[in-house]
Amino acid sequence: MSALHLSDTIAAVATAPGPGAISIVRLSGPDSLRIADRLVAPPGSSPSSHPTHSFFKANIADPLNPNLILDQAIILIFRAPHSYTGDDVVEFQIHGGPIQSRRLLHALLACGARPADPGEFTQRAFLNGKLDLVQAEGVADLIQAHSERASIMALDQINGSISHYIKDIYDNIMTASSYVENSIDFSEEDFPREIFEKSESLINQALGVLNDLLASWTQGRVIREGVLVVITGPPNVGKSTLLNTLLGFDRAIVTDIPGTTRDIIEEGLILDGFQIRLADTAGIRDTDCKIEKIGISQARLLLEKADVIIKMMDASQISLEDELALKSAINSEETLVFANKTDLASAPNLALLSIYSQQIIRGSLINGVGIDELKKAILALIKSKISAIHSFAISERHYSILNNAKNEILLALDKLPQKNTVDLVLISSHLRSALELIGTINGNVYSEQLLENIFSRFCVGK
Amino acid sequence: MTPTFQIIVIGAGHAGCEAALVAARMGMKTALITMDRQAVARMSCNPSIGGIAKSHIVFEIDQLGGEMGKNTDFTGIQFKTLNTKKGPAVQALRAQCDKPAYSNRMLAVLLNTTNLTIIESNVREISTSNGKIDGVILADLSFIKGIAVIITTGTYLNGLIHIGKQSFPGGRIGEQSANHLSSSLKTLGFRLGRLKTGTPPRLHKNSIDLRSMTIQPGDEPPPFFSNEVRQLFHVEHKIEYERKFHVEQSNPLRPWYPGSCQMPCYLTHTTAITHSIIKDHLSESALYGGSISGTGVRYCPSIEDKIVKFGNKECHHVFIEPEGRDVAEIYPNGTSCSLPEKIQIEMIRSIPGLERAEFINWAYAIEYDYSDPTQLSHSLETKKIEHLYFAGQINGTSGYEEAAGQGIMAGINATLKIRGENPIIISRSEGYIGVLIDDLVTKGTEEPYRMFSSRAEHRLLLRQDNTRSRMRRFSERVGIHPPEYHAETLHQEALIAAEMVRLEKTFHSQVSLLQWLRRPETRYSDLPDIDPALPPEIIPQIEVAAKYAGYIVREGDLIARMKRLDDRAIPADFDYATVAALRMEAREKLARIRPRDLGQAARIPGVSPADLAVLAVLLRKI
Repeated sequence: MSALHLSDTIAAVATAPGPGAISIVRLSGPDSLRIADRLVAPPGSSPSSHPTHSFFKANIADPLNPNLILDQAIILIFRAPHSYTGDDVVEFQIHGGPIQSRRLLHALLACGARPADPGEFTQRAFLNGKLDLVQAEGVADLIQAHSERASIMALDQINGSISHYIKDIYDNIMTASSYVENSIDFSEEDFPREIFEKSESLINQALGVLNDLLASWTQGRVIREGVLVVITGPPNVGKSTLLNTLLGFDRAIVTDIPGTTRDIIEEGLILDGFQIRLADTAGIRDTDCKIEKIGISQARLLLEKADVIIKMMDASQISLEDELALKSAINSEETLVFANKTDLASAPNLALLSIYSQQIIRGSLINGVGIDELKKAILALIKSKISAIHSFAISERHYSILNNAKNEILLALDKLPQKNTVDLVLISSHLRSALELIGTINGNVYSEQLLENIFSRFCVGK
Repeated sequence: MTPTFQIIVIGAGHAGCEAALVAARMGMKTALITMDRQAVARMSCNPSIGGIAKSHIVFEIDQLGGEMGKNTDFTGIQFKTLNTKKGPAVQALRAQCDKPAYSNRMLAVLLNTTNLTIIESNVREISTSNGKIDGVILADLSFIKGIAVIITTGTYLNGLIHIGKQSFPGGRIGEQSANHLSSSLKTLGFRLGRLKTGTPPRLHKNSIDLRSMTIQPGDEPPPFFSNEVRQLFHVEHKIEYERKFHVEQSNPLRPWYPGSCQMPCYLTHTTAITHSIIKDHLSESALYGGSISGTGVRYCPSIEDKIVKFGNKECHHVFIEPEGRDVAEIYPNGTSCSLPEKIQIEMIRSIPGLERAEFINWAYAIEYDYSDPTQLSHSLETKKIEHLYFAGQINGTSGYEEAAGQGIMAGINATLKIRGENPIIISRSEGYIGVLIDDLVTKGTEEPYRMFSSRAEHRLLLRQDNTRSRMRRFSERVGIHPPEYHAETLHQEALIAAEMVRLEKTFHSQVSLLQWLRRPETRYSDLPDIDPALPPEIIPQIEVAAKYAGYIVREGDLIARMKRLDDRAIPADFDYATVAALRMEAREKLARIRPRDLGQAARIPGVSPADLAVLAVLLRKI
């Protein structure tokens, strides 16, 4: 029914998915300007201060983390009724790339916009009288067609493991709800204590699965926080030089003294539209230096979280240890091996490296050799990871629905542990909201299933 | 000369009595046709009125000027508040009634009502001319002229009673069925379906050993359904009233002091022997032996159903309920079945305390015709024939309260239509009667429809305590309660609003009284600073307003959202068949039910949000 709610504000990425020079994210509805205001980073001017049919340039920031600049955008303002949909519309034109537009969309959703339903912009345009009446049937066909396509896509997406999770959550909450409703409508007992325990355990079970599902939204993390690329390797192989080279400026202090880098140095970087967090770590070696030891253990922790690891080695000094590490590294999915200082390497070493030519990127940072190859390899790895995650991750729409459902479930749980009386009606009100939300994903209708569930589960009498 | 009435009501059960009374009280010349005047408002199954969600309906009927609440209060022999610890929205009353007293009092009320004529006869046919009602034809072929007809025939249409392998026609045990009328409705083009229900045996009270059972007394002081009895027989007045009330003053209208001398119910249970008797003879039951097809009523399962479907339960409750003060019959609630007589005896006597039980009546199952209620509009008028109304069990409902709720609405709306006024339609957010009727006319029903609180999505707002305010604007239009009554309701609403402001602004040890009252288990009387002048009947509303504040706002938002759909009317002649953009299933359902607005369309099972969006677009085009 959301399709008929003209009073909320909808958002969607307007440009086709895939690489492109720019992406357009569109916002339509009464709160468009207010939401857009929250995204402009100072000292940019707020969209609501601009007249209709104007545009301006501003940095946009993550509203939850105002220091994180998402991108530079051209912002176009169309005030109601002079817009495509007839509502207030704000259009963001940002840099192209698969990640940027979705990060912006997330920020808009976090500020109160709702993901648009299929065909909803056109539908609003029609309902607001912006399209010719003769087009009515055309629009109607469009809505139905969009909706069918969307449901096929939704089915695709929730096939397999995700639909299994969602069914699990739904069934547990529905059963808890049946306990509560059965007690309200059919129980002669004044204070059915076992209702608490049974419902509580079912709700907690559902909450656990729900949390897992929300956590599986790894792609969301990558989008929000960027891909974590960690440079590691023995001391003095040129890790900090690589960081500086990739960043394009001197961020880390580079010396020929092993152990110069003790802290983790992290910088943001955009590579072909992907937000990257690039981290340089302390070289891993045995040391007596307390400070360096701490740095090394931090580096190990960071490696565990890394999406991409660049393992560096010195081509001029390949040890047996290096060789062993090399063998394990090339079997790992997230590790790239970069052999630096090829300019200084001996012929036998180069011959050794060439055995692994498929897996090792060779280069000499000082001479600017191998950088482009390394960048390409990093991007290939990121893309393969994101598409792998994509087939599993839940969509923005599902994420926002499940997150709202989770809030309702938490509110229901909060009402449960009262001593001698309990407002079962309030608990049931939250459970019902949660079920209705999840029902918009799996197509279950609460009112049709509740009684079915009660009567199959309980022998109701008097 | 042909007798002429404005409104003719066929059937004097719970729906028919309310329909006839409200019509007559609203000034219509009304006829109430019944086969047997001694059987008016007969409680043909359980001896109780009310229960969760059902009692809300009784409260609403009372506020609209109906009789059920008063009749229960005056003839009740046990009163109880249910769900006392599960939250105020779902608190409800239930009363055990004296069955003969209930019927007798209703008959006395009918006889004392001006404009109302009781006709003892059997209706053969509904008479129409040019698609409009013109009257009814009785069994003796005599004709009664009328402008509007309300059919409230309960389980009588083609009623077929089953006991074991035996089956015979009947409306209730010992009463004939109405078969001509059923054919007459088919001839007029109505879709009829078949439903089934059942009732337990009746046992002789002197044959029952209560010693092994758990006693279940009523509440003291007794809670009442009707405003009149609550006002007149309030605890404080009790002594004064009892002094004035003498036994010789007892009459059908006031058989005893309301709520006095309550009678208990008793609780016993089935045993392993009961279960094995039923299992061994399942094939002899009408329900399981094939005489009746389909499933039984899920919320009131027969004992066969309980044993088959919940086989792992070791025992089931059996409530022993009296059917009246001077009545021999005992109602063993929970033992309804369609087993043969011999097996019924065996089965009942395997229950502790019923070892020597003597039978007065057999348990039986009954099948009857009902009319698909989606053929009605929200006023309960049939879409096919003007001035023809259906109310009660004929619409596929179950329960006295559901029947009475429809009856009063049919009576009101038939009257308003004759007067040329718009019908009264209670919305789902205003009353359980609204939920009941909207469910019936929108979704239809496949099993006897009973009201549950979970059917009401806005049940936080639909409470017993605020019924008077919820029903005020409808009750004003009906006009049975005097204007002063409504003025008092308004005054109470103002008092509540003022008290809410005072509670918010008065602080005690840095805590506002409102916050104080929001604490769990805190009652208004626990506050350090109360207004002793407030009428006690509004206190529950103040407590609820404090405790549910956030939820009431949330409900309000939901209702406002839905209202935008409810406000988008769909023309009655809208041609769904030609809208290619609607899915086929939606096209068929919409064309059959003909929703009056987008809100109702949205509630039809099988109509998707996309279908609704398509409709919205096309409505804009019109």
